[in-house]
This record gives sequence, C-alpha cells and structure tokens, in this order.
Amino acid sequence: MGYNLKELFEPKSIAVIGASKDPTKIGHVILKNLVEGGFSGQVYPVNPSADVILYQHAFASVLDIPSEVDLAIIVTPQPVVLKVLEECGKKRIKNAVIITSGFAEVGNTEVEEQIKEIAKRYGIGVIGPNCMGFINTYTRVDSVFNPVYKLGRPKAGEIAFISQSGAVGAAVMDLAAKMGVGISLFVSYGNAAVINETDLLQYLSDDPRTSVIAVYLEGVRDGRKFLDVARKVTKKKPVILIKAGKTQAGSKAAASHTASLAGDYAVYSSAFKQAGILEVESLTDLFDYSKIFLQPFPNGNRTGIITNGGGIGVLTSDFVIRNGLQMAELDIETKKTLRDSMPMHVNIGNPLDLAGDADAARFKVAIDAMMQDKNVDIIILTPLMQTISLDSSIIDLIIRESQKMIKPIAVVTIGGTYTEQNRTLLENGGVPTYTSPYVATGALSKLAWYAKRYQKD
Amino acid sequence: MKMFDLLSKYDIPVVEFAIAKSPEEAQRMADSIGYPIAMKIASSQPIHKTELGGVRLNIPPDAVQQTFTDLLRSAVSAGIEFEGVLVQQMAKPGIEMIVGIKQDPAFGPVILLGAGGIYAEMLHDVSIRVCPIKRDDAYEMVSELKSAAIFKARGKHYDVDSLVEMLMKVNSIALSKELKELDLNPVVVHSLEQGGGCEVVDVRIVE
Repeated sequence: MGYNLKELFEPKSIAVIGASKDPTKIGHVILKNLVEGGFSGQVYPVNPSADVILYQHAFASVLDIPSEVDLAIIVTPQPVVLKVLEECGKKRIKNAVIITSGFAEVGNTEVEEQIKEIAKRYGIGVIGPNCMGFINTYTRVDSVFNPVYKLGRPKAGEIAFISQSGAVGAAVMDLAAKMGVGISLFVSYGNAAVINETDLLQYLSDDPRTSVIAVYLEGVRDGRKFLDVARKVTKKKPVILIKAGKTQAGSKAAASHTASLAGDYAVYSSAFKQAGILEVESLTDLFDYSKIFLQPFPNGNRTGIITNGGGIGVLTSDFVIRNGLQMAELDIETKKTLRDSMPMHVNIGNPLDLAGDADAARFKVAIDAMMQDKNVDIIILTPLMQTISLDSSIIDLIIRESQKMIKPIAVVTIGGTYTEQNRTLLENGGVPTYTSPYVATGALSKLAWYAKRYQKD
Repeated sequence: MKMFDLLSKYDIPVVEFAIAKSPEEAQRMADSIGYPIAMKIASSQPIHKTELGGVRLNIPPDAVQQTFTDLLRSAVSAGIEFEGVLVQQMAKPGIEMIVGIKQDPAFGPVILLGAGGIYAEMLHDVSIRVCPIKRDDAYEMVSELKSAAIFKARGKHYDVDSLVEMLMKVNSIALSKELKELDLNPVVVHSLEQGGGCEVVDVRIVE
C-alpha cells in the first residue's frame, strides 16, 4: 500500500477544498466543525471566489497556501475533483479525503479510475470518494458534514468504527454519542478507490488508541486479502462486524445445489467465522457487543448473577444458558461468607437474589464474594432501581468494583426514567450496561469465546 | 464421462457404475455389477435428474432394458443431449451428505458440506469454508452441522474420518480451479459397524 495512515488520521494542517461561506453547504459545515470543534492545527479554506470564510483567510488553490499541508478534504463539485486532486499532488499533500460523490457508485468508473491514477502518481493516500471521511476523537479532526447540533459526536474512547456507508456510519456515531460509547476513530471510506477496509483493519490493529474494531460492511472486492489480514488482526484485537446486503444475491436460479446453498452472504458469514470476526445482527448490537471487550478477559464462561429481584435473576439465568454460558456453582467458602453476612430471608445460591430490601451495602458483600470466588468467571448485576432501599450509591459502588478490572462485570437494568438516568451514569463510568439480559449474555458469551480462542488475560 | 474421470483422478470413491449406450449393453453391465441396480440419465450438463424423472432405483434384471428405453424417452422430451444411461450399484445404506465447491466472486474457491440427498436445499443444514481448509477445519465443518449428532446415533458410528478425507480431496479440486461448481450428492457415509467408508453416488459439475 505504501500510504501512511497515521499521518492521514493525525494531520497537523488541513486544507478544506470547496470551503463555502454558505452555511447550508457541506464545505461550510466541515470548515466550521474543524475551526470550532477543537482541532488545534492549521486550517486553510480553499475557494477560488472567497477571501475570508469563518474568519479564516481563504486561498484560490492549494498551490497558493504558503506552508505545508498534511491533509486535503475535498468537497468540490464532482467535475473539478480531478483537477484539485492533481493540485494536491503538486503541492505534495500526502493524504486526501474525497467527500464528493458521483463516481463508481453511479457507474462513473472511468473518473474513479483517474482518481486512482493521480493518487498513485503522486503517492496520495485517498479516503473515498463518496464518503463522510473520518472523526479522530483525540485530535478532533472531523470531516463529517452533519452539523454538531443534529449529529452528536462521541467521546474519545477505545472503539474504532469503520463504515462502508457514510449515512449509516454517521447515524451510528450519533447513536454512540447518545449511548455514551467512546470512539477512538470513525472512518467512512465510501467507494474505497485507494484505501479500503483491509488497509484500515491493518492500520487499526497497530493503533495504540484502539482496543476494539467495529465494522459496517456491504462487500469487499478482494475477499482473500481481507480474510488473510483479518485473521491476523483478530489475534490482536476483537473485530465486531455487521454485514448489510444479505438477501439481494442468490436470487438467480443456481445450476448446482452448492451454488444455491452457498449464496454470497453464506460465504461472507463463513469467511468471517474463519477469520475470527464476530458477526452481529443489528447496529445497536455492534456497540453493545463491542463495549464488552473493554472488560477484562474471563478465564472461562461460568457466570454469577446478583440481583434484588428474583424474577429478573431467573430470566437472566435462562439467557445465560441459551447463549452458551454456564451458571457458576458457588464455592463452599463463598456460600459460608454470604450466609454469615446476609439476613435469613436471602437465599444463598446462583442467581443470588439479595431480596427486595437489599441496599448498596448488601450488593457490595455479594460482589466482593463473587469477585473472590474461583468458580466465577463472569458477573452479571441486575439491580432493580425501583425499590425503596436501593439508591444511587449503588452506582458508585458498581463503578468502583468494575474499575478493579478483575472479572468482567455487565449490568442489566430494566425500567423507566429513573432507572435510565442511573444506567447512563454507569455507562459514563465505563460499566457496560444493557437493557436486555439477552443482549448482555450474548455479548458476554462472545467475550468468553474470544478469550478462550486467543487465550488473552 | 468427464466428471467421473475427475473423481478418479483425485482418488475419490464412487459407487460402482458403468455407462450404457444401448439396452443390451445396460443389461450386460447390470448383470456384471449385480442386482438390484440403479439407472440414471447420464449427462455432462448440470441437470436436476430427479425432477426430470431421470433416476430409477431398485431395478430387477427383467426391467433393465425397458428402463433404458424409458430414460432415453425422458431425456429426449426434456431436451437433454443423450449421452447414455448410468448403470450403478444400489448404494449401501448410510447417511446422505452433500459435498460441493463453488468459485465465489469475492472469496474464490469455497467448499461446502451439508445434509444431502434430494432434500439438500430444503434441509439447508450446511457448513461452508473458504479454501484451502486444513484437516481440523474439515472436522469442525462436520461438527457444526445441526445434524452432526446423527453420526453417532442409534448405536452406530458413522465414518466421519472417511468423510473428512473426502473433504480434503475435494479441497484440492477446489484449489485447482478446474471447475466453477461441483456437487457430490449424495455422498453416502457408512457406519463403522458395516465396514465404514463413504462413496459418491452422483456428481454434477458446472465448468
């Protein structure tokens, strides 16, 4: 490949080619997001017919910019993209994001080939065309053209997200921001004329800020290369993926049973499995599964459940089994400790139902006991926040226990506004929370599978 | 025929067969293979033989020549180029599987194992891998089938090792890229109690 993606994603100076004074234009919003969004480097608006945009001196061409430029964000009309890319080459700009659409995605492959040719000739690493570019939450480089008041930006974190679709990617970023999920890097790579999903996977596997890689994929061109790279990447970091376009293919009658049974999507799904990629079914699962991988890796799949509501404990244990985890058999010492410190109406077992009058202190005893029990690999807490005795002090307790990073802890909360507020506090404290025991156990099951497969600690 | 030559080239076991060009030849071949016998339209084209009435099973000695004529007639009425009639020993009982390959547009050669026979597509119990596969992958393919449990059921142990052996040979065919698609269906897997092994009953290729 030969491109330096680290420089691409961490530029110190950026030219916005096609910057505009008109607040309804993409070229305006991108410039505004860079200037007002906390990017600390130089920003150069480029527009042949403007002097000043958003208090920044504008240049007619990148060739007029007196200093070096690390990254060009191109948002010009389609017919001038080749010309400005050529100018970027002459200016020795090594990286570009082409937001502009109207290329291979509408059958205009010829012009896209020319983009590749120019990129190759000058050695420009190109993201796009027909994309949203990227958001680096650490350096605040943001080429997504949705206004910040409409599309929330996620906080900095350890999950990278690469998306073939710009619209889905941006909507998911908005969702991540709302869910309180921290993102290291978001890349919408569009037509992947030069830099594709395989290059991005490779880069993210070495990116120290990224611990988990989430992917939205419609298709890959070179499946074999993707498979080879993904196989290596998943040994270092978990890759969670959602595949769109599962049903369109295989509609034509196949000559053989094999071709009919091994449709395009079936092959993709098998390839993901071979590469150790975890495939999920929905966009919310993408992050609900990704965030569990920020927990410590368990030594096994024996699960302990602590609750203050018997029913939710039983329901959760059903899903533990259904998702391929095991219910832990508590150690005799743990049972003794718990029996000695719990009131008589608390049944000592797993699920451990601390009863409706449980307070945070009782939860603390139970969590500590399970943390120390060598028969318990995973802990699920299902505190029902609606009881009289449970108040927000449970939040601090859970966050503190979680931060010890001894065993994976997931929290399932079910309820209305009060519960949701508390859940958000937990999530902001770095605790993976779920509103469904099914999703929580599904995610934990994948975590246990991955930990076993790659024997990480 | 080409597809059977291919199987013998890769040393893949096939239920004993011969190709007859006339009713009399069919009779001679059937006599030498032994009864009861199966007879099928032989064609290099990928056709759904069962749907066309092109497969007749358990044929006794006195019905061989009439069956030949019937099969010739169905082939002609279906517009299939007639290349002869396949006279084949009836397969010994066992578990019917499908083993196949296809060249995928994104991933290249791909191998498939599934519950086989005429209901293969309806059962849709399959395991797929991008080639090449290793022996461990082949065992994993067998064990991840929904119907995997039937390989050890009712006091019998079906010869999974020989099925894995066949998958490895088919893997080699897939990598050679000689074919676009291949169906070995059914492949009959025998129980170890009955001597084990597995054999291909029918083949379909798309070049």
